[in-house]
Amino acid sequence: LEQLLERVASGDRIAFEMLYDDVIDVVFGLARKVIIDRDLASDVAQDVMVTLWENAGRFDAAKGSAMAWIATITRRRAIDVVRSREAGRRREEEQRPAATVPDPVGEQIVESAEWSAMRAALSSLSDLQLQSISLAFFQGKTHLQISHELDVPLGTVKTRIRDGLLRLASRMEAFAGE
Amino acid sequence: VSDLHDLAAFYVVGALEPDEARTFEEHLSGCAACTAEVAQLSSGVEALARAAAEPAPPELKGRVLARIDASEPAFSTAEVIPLRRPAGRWLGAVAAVVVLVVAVTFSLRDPDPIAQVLAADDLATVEIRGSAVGTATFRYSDELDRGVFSSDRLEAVGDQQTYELWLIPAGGDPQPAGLFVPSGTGAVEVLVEGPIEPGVTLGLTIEPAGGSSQPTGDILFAEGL
Repeated sequence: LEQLLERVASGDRIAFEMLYDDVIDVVFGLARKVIIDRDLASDVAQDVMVTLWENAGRFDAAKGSAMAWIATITRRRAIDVVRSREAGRRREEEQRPAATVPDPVGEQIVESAEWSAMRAALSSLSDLQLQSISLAFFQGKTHLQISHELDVPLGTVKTRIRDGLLRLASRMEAFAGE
Repeated sequence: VSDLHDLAAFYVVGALEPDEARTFEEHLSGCAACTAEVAQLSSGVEALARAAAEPAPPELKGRVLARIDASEPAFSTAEVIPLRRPAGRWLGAVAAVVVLVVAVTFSLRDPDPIAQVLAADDLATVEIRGSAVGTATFRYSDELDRGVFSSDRLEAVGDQQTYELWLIPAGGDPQPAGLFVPSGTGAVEVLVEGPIEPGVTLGLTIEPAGGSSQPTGDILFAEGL
């Protein structure tokens, strides 16, 4: 993947198609963990792929794997879309004050079928670890917001996220070793 | 969070405030321990991402490929306006890689670089015409190799967009010259760091947030300096 990105950075369109095939299911799946709506998630996936074509040269292997970089771009874009839609909805509701404020996206997502499939794949994580990681990664919460929402100290949030990621990382290494 | 070294876990899951993330990135470039930690934790992010995979709609690929094919020619169609100042001699090859920095407000090492440019003895002014950019000018100093782009009413861009300036050397590829988002009134004043060589063209496009390495959006103007 890293080598493909390098070729894409030099404008290699064939490499881009190979990159597309390798990452699109991850990009789309991630977008859907943030945005339930399939069409909107498709739009995000499309934007992310165009961004990769244009910005492949910005990938820095020292900071992690290509897939992690792509995942970070995808979640950022998806969260931005959710936020701008929420802002638009709030503006509409200010004009119709009777409407109730909708729940944030988060709750319904955790209940969804997509999520339970992923939960199975992430069985090595404790519930608390997954909760903190997903509040940050899929719902765009900051460390302070998570600490406040869960009513636990910042250090505890950090430990849950860090230990959870390390467990996931060791699973990745196990995959790589197979 | 007191210690910068503690921020790695929050950084990789995107849980830092934007200014904290910037501070941590600066720290990261000089800290081997944190770089190693970030690399390790990010393989956790990769595992999370792979677990999230689900089949994408098959028609998506055609749409993506159509978009990248449409974006390719970008600047080759730009209208390049010829030199306005007396034709100087070509000053030699432009250095291969030049980092172009735009400071919208302040740069730490320099109290007010914009004021410095505007006070330069050799200040030159180019008026920029284009319906989308209001009354815009680019004032620059050869001696300082810096300029200031300003406009009084640029249209707002979407949440996921940014304006991006470009310096296009004669016969060369556009180089990113800085990102900015106008204030509420549409007013902007942006520092552009050179090289500002004879024959260079200043351009402006709207790009996805975070900017692009090559122009992809419509060209709002391309003005020869």
